[in-house]
Order: sequence, then structure tokens, then C-alpha cells
Amino acid sequence: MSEAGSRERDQASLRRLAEGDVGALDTIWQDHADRAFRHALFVTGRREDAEDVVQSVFVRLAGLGADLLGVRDLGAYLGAMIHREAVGLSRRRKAGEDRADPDALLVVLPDPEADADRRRAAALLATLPSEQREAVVLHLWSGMTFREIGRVTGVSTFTAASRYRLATRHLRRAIEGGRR
Amino acid sequence: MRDLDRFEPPRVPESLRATVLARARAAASSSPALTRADRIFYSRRWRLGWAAAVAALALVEVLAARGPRWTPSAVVVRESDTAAEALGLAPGIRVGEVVVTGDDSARALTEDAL
Repeated sequence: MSEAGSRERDQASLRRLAEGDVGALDTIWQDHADRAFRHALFVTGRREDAEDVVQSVFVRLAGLGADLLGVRDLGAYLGAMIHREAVGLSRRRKAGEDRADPDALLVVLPDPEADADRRRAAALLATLPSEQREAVVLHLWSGMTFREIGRVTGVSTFTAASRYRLATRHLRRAIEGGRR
Repeated sequence: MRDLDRFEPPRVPESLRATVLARARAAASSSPALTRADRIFYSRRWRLGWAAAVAALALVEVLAARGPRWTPSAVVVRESDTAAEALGLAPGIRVGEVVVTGDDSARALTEDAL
């Protein structure tokens, strides 16, 4: 679906939800849940935390009532909510519990050789600071521009781009080091 | 980052869908119903109309400020006017006379009137 088409669909869902049609939540879930979950997963680094974040964000969104009509870009709005909730959860975590779980970050592939690569890539991702992981997941897998990432995470476009650059530089060095 | 292109983060667990949607439905049901005021407040047409009205008023204000200013050519203060008497206390203003005049024609007119 084109971007304009998906925005129209989002607007229609928000209108329906504001008018009390809870069936609109299914459409919103279908269109945004994967992206929201991946985003939360990369910030918190843990599957259970990501599930909590997604749950809390969807419940809050559903309870917005008339304010839903003021939402212009649902993807960015949900992204900002996920960011705030996930960062808040990570801050509340005790010191020493902030390491991401590499096994949670990337999907398991059936091919054993590819799985070894996946484990290595996930282990590298887990070593990154959460804001760099967030930039990677939003740019690489959610297809957001750095401007959009900046808006979602509350930083400038330049900062969003430099977080991504730092992350990829770190990953590249680690990969090249691993091959030697 | 080509090395990461081959992988992707996991999708949202299917088991989460039912739990989240049930709680979200409950939250949506308990939120207040949409009122006419809400519809107007969030209506794009109303907002555009409001913005256009403000812009039109601002434009009128600017045009009015740029046009020729109206200034009184002469002020006649009459003796019977109590407010004018108070004004007469100010230096240079004498009650019963032409007080302000910018040009000769105005002065002639006010002198005729007196």
C-alpha cells in the first residue's frame, strides 16, 4: 500500500476508534504491531519488556478518546509513544540489568550456518547502546528517514543520523575483527 | 549495513494480540464519547476557516496601517464643554480658540466657524 493510502487507512481507523468502534483496533494492530514490537524490543533489549511496552502503548492509545482525532501521523505517534515508554522502562530497570538479550533481537533461521551468523550479528547488536540500536531498527527495518527518527526519539536529524553511523561503524569493525 | 540485511527482528508474538486487544477494547469503551464540540475542535475545515479568518483580519490591519492616516485638520474647543475646560489647564491650549491647526485652509475654515 502506498504511503498516502496507509495514512488514509490510519486516519479512518483513528476516526472509527474515536467514535467508539473498537473493531478499528484490529486494523491498527495489523498495520503497526510488528513495527511497534521491534522498536520496543531494540530499545529495551528484552522480549518480555517489549511485550509490556506494546501492551501499555496500545491501551493508552485506545483510551485517548477525542484526542485520537488530533493524530496526523499514526506511525510517528506510536513510535514516539513506544520510545517514551521503552526508555522509561529501561531507566526504571536496576543497574546491571541493562544488557540486551541477544537471542531476542533477531529471528532464528532454519539454516544452521545462517543461524550462527544471526547469533553473531545479534550478539553485536546487543553490545550497542539502546539509542543506537533504536536508530538501527527504525532505519533498517522500519524504513524511517533520519528526520522521522529524530521526530520519534525527540532528537535532531543530525543526532539520529550520527547514532546510526556510530552503530554501523561499531558493527562493521566488530565484523571485520571477527573475520581476521 | 549489508550484514544485517539477511536477518530481521522477530514479529510481534501472536499470543500477545488477544491480550493487548482485549485490554485496549476495555480502555476504548471506558473513554468518554465524542461530543459535537470535539468534532468541531478537531475538524480540519473549522481549523482552516479559523486560520483564514485570522489571516484576513491581519491583512486588513496591515492595509489599514499602510494607508493615509486621518488627522483632524483643526480642533475647536468650546467654552461650554467641561472636558475642554480641563484641557484648557494644559499649557498652550486656550479655551474658545482654535487650538490645533495644520494648514491655512483649515485655519480659515475654523475661523469662519467661530
